[in-house]
Amino acid sequence: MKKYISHNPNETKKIAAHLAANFQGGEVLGLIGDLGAGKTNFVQGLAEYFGVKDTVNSPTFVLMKPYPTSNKKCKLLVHFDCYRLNNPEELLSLGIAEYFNDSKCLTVIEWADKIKSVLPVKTLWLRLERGKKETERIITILDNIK
Amino acid sequence: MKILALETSCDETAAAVLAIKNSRFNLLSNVVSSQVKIHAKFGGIVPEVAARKQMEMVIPVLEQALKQANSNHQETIFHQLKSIDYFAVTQGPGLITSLTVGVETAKTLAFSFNKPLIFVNHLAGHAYSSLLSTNQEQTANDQTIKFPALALVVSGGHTMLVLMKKNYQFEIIGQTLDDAAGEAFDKVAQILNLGYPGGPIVSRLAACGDRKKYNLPRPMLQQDNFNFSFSGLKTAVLYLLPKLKKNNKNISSTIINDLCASFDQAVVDVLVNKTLRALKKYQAQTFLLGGGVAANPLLRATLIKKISQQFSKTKILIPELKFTGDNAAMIALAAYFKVKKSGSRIKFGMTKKIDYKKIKAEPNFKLGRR
Repeated sequence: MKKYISHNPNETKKIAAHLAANFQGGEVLGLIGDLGAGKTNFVQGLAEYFGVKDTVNSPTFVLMKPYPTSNKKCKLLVHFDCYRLNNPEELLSLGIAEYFNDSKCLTVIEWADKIKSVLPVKTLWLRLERGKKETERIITILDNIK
Repeated sequence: MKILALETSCDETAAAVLAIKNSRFNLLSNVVSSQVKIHAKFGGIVPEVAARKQMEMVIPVLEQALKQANSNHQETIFHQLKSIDYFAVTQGPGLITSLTVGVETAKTLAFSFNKPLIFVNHLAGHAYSSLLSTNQEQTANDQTIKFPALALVVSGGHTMLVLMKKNYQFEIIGQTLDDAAGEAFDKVAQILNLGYPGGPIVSRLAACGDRKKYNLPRPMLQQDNFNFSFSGLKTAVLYLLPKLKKNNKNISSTIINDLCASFDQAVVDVLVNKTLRALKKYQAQTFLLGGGVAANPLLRATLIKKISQQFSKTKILIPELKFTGDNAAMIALAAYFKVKKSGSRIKFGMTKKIDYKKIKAEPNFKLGRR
């Protein structure tokens, strides 16, 4: 377990970029955290690092948004949001499995704990929590998820 | 000219027939079959259920729209379909599984009747929706919008200010950087345990509350751009609630109403303020409102009041309530402007050069991209 404390949304983005520096493409990130925990903000940090030009906003409504990057290795960032989902199989109908096996693609999933049964073993789990202060967020890399 | 449109971008299945004669619009039928009740049971949307429902509903809804358009009951459905000049369909943005149902059904129709098929951006439909009317006396025509025009499209999935220098030409000048306004309403309703969909519930309770009771942030109001951010506002409600719970034994309905009212006011303040600034900067001659959040009473009233006060020459077009939600009439209307703009260059007719097999639903279709 590794823990980061972010004091504001900008720091959350920096922590995301710091983690992204190790990514080669092909990773699957499962984000866990309540409403307002900073999940979309974190994904925006990843997008900035990989040079996504589009505005990365909430995919809650359409469930998924793919973004081309300007990175050589990781060419696509796919942002999923399971907030409105109940059944893990639902995401399979959107073609999520295709992205898991794509070595040029980074897949990030918000509310990933709702669909853990369909996520690959290689999934890297992160927990985001609200801290004591209003802009404080705690980001934890989880060794395993039960 | 007669256009038949289908719209299946999310959880509504819709079909409409629009006739255009001497530049005037005559909406012959507009049928919307909503799945909101189904999804309310699940507390959100279920893509597989949505798509399956779309498949079950699309032909009955189409049939209903044709029947309604056939006022003297003299034509068979086949003859009616033959008399359609253009088929139109929402290509995106939306939920891929839902969009595909409409796109493939429309392709089949265009293929069978050998007619051109017009692919429409869902948001273009919302931008034009205020021109629609069920009252023929008040029907707008294709000259109603004076340019440049500014559209505020605000819904559960989108919040954007769109500049239109001419018909069917869109430039997004600002949009939400995180949650859409409608999404913020839904999530606040969830935080307060009020049910789904949140927008109508929160705005109804807001009408009984004190809009100045809680001082919620107005995100990005001071920034000199046309972007929005509603995520922080949601978080502010999230932090306020435990404090209220600590100070009050029970969260009374008065507190809930006041919270809804203060939240409603904060969202509307930001939307209206940015709109006014954009109207000024781009010297817009017409203001257009569209999207599900356009049904919000405070938003409608405030926009009308402030724009008429500050820009007396700007034409204000606010959609009728029935055209704020997703519907196919707005898609037919947008298709008309697309046809008018492109003239004879639009030839998605199935025997023409463009390979219709390659055209498919685009869940992330960007407004103004083409």
